[in-house]
Amino acid sequence: MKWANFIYLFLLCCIPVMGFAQIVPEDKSVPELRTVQNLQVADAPNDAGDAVNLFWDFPKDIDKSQITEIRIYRSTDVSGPFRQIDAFPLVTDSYTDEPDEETGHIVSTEETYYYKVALYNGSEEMISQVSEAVSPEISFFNWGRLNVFIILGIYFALILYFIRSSRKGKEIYIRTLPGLEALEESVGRATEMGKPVLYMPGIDEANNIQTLYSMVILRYVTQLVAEYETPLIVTVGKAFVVPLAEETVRQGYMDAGRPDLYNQDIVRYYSDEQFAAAAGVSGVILREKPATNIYLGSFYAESLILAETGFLTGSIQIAGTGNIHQLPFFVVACDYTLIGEEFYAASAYLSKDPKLLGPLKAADWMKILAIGFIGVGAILETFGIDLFTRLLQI
Amino acid sequence: MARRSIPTAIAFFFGAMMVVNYFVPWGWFSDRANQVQEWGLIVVAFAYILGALNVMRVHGHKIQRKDEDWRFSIVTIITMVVMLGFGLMPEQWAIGGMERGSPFLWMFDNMYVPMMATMYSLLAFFIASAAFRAFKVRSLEATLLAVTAVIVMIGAVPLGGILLPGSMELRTWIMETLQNVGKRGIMIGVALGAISTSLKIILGIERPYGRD
Repeated sequence: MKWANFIYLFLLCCIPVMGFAQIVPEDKSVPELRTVQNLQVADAPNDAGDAVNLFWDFPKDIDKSQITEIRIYRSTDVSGPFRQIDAFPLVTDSYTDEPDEETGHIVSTEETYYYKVALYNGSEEMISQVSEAVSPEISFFNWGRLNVFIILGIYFALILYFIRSSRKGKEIYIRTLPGLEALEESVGRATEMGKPVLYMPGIDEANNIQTLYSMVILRYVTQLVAEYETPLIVTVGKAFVVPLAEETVRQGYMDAGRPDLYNQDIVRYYSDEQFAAAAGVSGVILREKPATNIYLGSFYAESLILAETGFLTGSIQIAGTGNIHQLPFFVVACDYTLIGEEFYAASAYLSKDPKLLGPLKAADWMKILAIGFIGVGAILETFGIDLFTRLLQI
Repeated sequence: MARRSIPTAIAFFFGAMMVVNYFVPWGWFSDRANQVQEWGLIVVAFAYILGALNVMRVHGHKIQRKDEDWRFSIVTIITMVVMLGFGLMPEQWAIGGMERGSPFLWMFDNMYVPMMATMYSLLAFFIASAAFRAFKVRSLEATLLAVTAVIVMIGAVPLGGILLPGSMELRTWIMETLQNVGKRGIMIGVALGAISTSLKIILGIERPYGRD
């Protein structure tokens, strides 16, 4: 009983103590906020003279969770006035002062800038010392892209070398590309059946290299159909490609000596909209039932719609694209597919022109170089050496 | 001679300018390069007129000749003219503009968008029919393709992990290792092909423009 009373008394004493503990206010005083140290400024390299890089250190014992904002101040005079140019909640140790069209903020090569960095914790702001003076400078060469420049230089030199050696009569071997071998045969089939040949140069703009290259192949196909007097339909999915395709087809007929076969209805524009164009071309395939469908260029999701529609009508289909995501669709639904680089080999393969064969050989050597780079990089990275990888980084 | 050399010289000048622009960050130069690209955009805007004229001409001839299914061409021309007409009407007019409530936007939302969605949804059926043909087991390669496809498909659904333990991990390995290796190999080839084609066009070796 005595023990029970003692425990009861003890608990009674504890309650006020616990209550007191609850009502004692927490120490909400904010520890003194200190600011950044060692503020460094430097002209941003490899730019148009319109950026300045800022770097700073945080004090070692600073509690970064207190920082709610970092503010950047700038002046053109060491004694100020300093104007806030940016503020951000991210706790970072660097910043790039760049022009901003929206706010009209500029960075000029004709000015000298001084910076201050301030840490803000929601109630007070601690501003750093003034930085050294910095003047942005124009770089006339982007040294960060020197590796690209060198590799591109090697590639260009190889192309020119192989063009030269090919012109001198050195034979360049090209493996058989069934898709291109089948081109003449498929046009011949269309002739026998008395049905047209449909050619589609993709649905991308003329500034896409695939669309431009497709025009080169279109010219060859036009010559072929002109020789066989087979009707040609060229379906276009971009308005800007219309004059390009019309000119190419007209030139193709002229090359074949049959300008009389050219008519303005050969090139048909459908729509700049992807699926509207796909619907239009599918309609042509279903209504006019071309014996041969040639899809060479830049295709996207409409590739399978077109290729499957062509398959349903029993056409011979030849496709080629550099858009790798569409290749499986073409492989499945078409009779022949030019995979990636094979598409770019078409003109050289068809014409056997030494000027065009040279770049093919150069591309092969570049692939060997790429394989070498990948191998060396993988081995060095395995041993923790990243020098080679960094050299090739852009 | 001039017929060939002038287009080649223009192509070389502007092509080389764009290549140099990649390596030279100098503001004056990049401003000029950007200006050239803006010219391109302006020219592209005019090309829409050529596109519209092409549609009118091709379908007009079809109607004139009463070719097969020539009635569809009437529908094409009427819809083009109607959309163009409503689109060009000033906003001040009761039936003009492209804002919410305008006939143009109503037609766009209730006719054009569903038709596009219909075309896109057809893709699912085309994928099914193409896959059916592709996965027919006729040779060793086709068998490998079919087995891989089944693993990837099973591994892609939540139930797959229960039905075939380890299929999700196997799918990830197939997609990230096997698939990526092949894809990157093709990508390197495509990039080299694009560079060499660009150089051939810049140097006038390959000419998709102008006459010989």
